[in-house]
Amino acid sequence: MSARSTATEAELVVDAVTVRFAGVTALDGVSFTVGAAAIHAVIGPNGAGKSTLFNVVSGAYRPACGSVRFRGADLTRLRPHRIARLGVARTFQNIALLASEPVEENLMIGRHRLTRTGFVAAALRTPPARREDRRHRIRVREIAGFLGLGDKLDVAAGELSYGDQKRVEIARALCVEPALLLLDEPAAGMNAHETAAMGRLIRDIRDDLQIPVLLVEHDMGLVMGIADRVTVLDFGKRLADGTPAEIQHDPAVQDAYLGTDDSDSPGEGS
Amino acid sequence: MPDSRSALGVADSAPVAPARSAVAASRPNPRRPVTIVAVLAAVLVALAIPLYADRFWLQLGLFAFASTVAALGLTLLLGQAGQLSFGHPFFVAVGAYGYTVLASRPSTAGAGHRLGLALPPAVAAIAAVLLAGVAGLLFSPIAARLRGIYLGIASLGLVFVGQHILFNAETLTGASNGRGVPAFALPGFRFDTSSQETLYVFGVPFGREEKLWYLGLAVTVAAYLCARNLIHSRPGRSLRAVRDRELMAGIMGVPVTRYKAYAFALSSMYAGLGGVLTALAFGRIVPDTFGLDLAVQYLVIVVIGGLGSPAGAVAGALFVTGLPAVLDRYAAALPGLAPEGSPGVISPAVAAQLTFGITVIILLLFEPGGVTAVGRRLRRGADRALVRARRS
Amino acid sequence: MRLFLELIVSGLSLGAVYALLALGFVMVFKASGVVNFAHPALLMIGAYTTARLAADGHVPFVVAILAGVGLAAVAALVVQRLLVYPMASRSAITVSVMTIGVNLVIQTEIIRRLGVDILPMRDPWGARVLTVAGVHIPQTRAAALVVGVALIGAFFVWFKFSIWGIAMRAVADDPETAALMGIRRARVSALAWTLAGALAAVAGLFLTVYPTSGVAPASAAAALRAFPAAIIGGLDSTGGAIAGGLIVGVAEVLTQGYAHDLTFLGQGFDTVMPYAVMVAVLLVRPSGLFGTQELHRA
Ligand SMILES: Nc1ncnc2c1ncn2[C@@H]1O[C@H](COP(=O)(O)OP(=O)(O)OP(=O)(O)O)[C@@H](O)[C@H]1O
Ligand SMILES: [Mg+2]
Repeated sequence: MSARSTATEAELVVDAVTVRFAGVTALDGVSFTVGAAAIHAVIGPNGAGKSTLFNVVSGAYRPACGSVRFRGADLTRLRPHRIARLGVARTFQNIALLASEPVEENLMIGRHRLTRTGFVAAALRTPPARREDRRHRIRVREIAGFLGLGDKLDVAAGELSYGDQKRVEIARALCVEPALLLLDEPAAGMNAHETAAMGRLIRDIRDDLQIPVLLVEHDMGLVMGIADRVTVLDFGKRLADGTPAEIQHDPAVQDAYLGTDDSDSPGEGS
Repeated sequence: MPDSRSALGVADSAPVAPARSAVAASRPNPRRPVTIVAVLAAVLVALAIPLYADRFWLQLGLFAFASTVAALGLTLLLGQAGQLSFGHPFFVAVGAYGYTVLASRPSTAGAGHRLGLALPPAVAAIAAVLLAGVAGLLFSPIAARLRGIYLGIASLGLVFVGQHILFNAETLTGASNGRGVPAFALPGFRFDTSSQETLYVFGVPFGREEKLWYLGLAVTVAAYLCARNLIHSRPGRSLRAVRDRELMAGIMGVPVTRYKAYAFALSSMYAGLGGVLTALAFGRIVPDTFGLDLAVQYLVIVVIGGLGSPAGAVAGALFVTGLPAVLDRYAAALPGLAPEGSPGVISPAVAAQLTFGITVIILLLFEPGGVTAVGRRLRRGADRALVRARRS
Repeated sequence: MRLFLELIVSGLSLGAVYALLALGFVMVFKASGVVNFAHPALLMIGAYTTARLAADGHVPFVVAILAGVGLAAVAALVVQRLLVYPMASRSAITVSVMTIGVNLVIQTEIIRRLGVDILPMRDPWGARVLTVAGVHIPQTRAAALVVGVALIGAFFVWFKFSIWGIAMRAVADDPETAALMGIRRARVSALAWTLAGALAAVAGLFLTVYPTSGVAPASAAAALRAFPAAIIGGLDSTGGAIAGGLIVGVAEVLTQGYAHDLTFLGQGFDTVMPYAVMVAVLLVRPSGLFGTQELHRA
């Protein structure tokens, strides 16, 4: 699939998206495009509308106006599970795992769109259902191993450390075999060493899968280190859009947000 | 084939952090030999009971089977999908009356015209279960759009509307007189006390109750296994995701509304099957059976057993169906109890209701896992004691 | 036309009673997030206590009412303190299911005490009928309307202007911010339960006087109609509770009054009508007429 598009062609087009809540305009005519296999960072202070943007792309919110097109499909007209079927996968800023279920089951949820077993086949435990289950568990364990979760498959997700839970979030998104990956603050709460490793991981994922990655992150070091392009939001408005270097030297951005260059993030936002 | 597209998994990237050793206790293995032996023993005992027990216990067993099957549906709905429903008796009634109408011969004698399709009983039973499922799906515009607790209240409507229909649709239901339930039969085998020749098994005469016992047992075991399988499968997992993290489930590709509708329809089918068994156990069904009290009874069963646990549904159903009957039978011998009708003292029915209510409150306060969790705790305690004993 | 007017007045009066029930129910839901399935039991406690005291004849009826209202309020408070509060960390559905157990225990005990008899209320109104501008209306209904409107009015004034009312609204809107501002949710919740108990007892009184013959096991079924009332208005809207109560009352009385024109619906459809209306409303608006639509938050 991804072989069709070249690196310059836009795969994800966010076009004049506006989202309003009672009293707040969380996104105000935001537009940008993401190229195939690009790591595209969305940054901005707390409450800028970054997570809201993710919620629009993944279908949780319907924007008041504007559209989001992914490979030609208008995502704003689709319900979340339809969007998932297109291979759009995401992680959640406020970890959304099933706390009492083992990691392996949490990851299997990511396989939902790739599996077929329905209620009847499951109740009867038909051979195809069992085969499918076995096959996908193998893949799930492989992905868990890739994220260093290989020895935690049987642990209830709620009992994991915060960092491990973040990793399970990412692993679950990878279990979708994504065509577009949205990561909402994957390095929140991590130390410098872990953050650097997370950066390498994100780049590896992009290199391996050749998919666009949309990244929300407060850690400027991480963003500037791995992003191909950056969009800056402030109070729901697009403040700037460009390469990391352009953003770093954009006076408007420096004024409104960066302040003291790329020192630590202005807020932890977890 | 999306799997082959990705090379992800090649070890060119170090894990983000050094893997720490496994933290928490792994869960108890459900396929432990002890468990299997216990299940086998239970089945053997269940198989042998008709050879030894009298009619009273067999009849009680039939009610317990019926309750178990219906409660399995509710425990799936409430425990796995997180949807509270008082509407269960409605679907039990659809199953019970559905079977009765489909299997009966039409009659015009005496009380007026009664509809009947005279289908073979086995066909009628299956059709009644499907009918209950369809009824569940018809309610899905409400069932699938409301969140758990809202559905709980909305489904109260089903009970009252259901009873209203049962009391008014006389040609179908016989109104307050109810309808006689045609005996079950499989090709070549009738499940009633046949007048011509009596079936003897190990010298024990097998009548209606004995035969129905085996039917009930087989149906219950099958229903139980299906419920267990579902829980440990893709649909079960996705339902739990919908229950705990609805938004996440949708974004991971679970069609939330449709899954809620399926869960409701599935639980309705269980209720319908329980209804068929209820009808067969009673032999005559009347509208009063299918009221709010029955809804509460199923909820009590499910809570006592532990929300979402099929084994708990079995235990809960045994307790809840058994207790009033047993108390009633031995009322004279029990202190503080008196048989129904004697003034002043506590009647067995009241004692049972109070027990249920208090048990529900105490369990939810202290052990929301229900008796299954209590059992698990005891077993773990016993294991530990065993280990300690072996060590010393 | 006169029949219609009479039915409307009677329906509004019954609706005001349902509104009292629904109001308490919604208040509890807003303050503690719990759907209180023990609400009918609170009503029964109030009605039974009042009727029992009045039947003994040693106390004035007003005292009997106050005792009933007080006992129901205390019972609600005890349930909140002893059972609901310790379960604060549990899911709303678990706590709500727990209240089903509470309802079962209380109702069983009251029905045991009632036995097979109906306990008449022995209220001062009896079966007398008022005639205003040619419209006949039972005194009990008139009293219910007056008391209902007065209590509802008092509630809204209190809810809008008193410290406690403001605290309650704050907790319902945003529990976390309310907590930061020093509002203790447990206290607000306790207050909501207490008020709900008192309101349920008042409603219980009016649901067991003429034209009903007294406190009976079936009285609780009337209390159940507060549930559709609350859902129709929107479970988290106090104004909606009032509207829902009135709608249910009027719908029920109209169905009853025009029963001979509605025979195709079967006998006794008036008791089903509230649920039919509820289902119709839910099909159009899943969160009720005035309930807040839920917004997803990731
Ligand atoms: N469901 C909602 N209802 C009402 N307001 C909302 C909702 N979701 C988001 N908002 C508001 O929209 C604005 C943007 O929120 P959003 O979560 O998108 O910010 P963010 O950029 O992700 O911030 P952070 O860095 O803290 O994660 C905020 O003012 C927030 O309060
Ligand atoms: Mg955010």
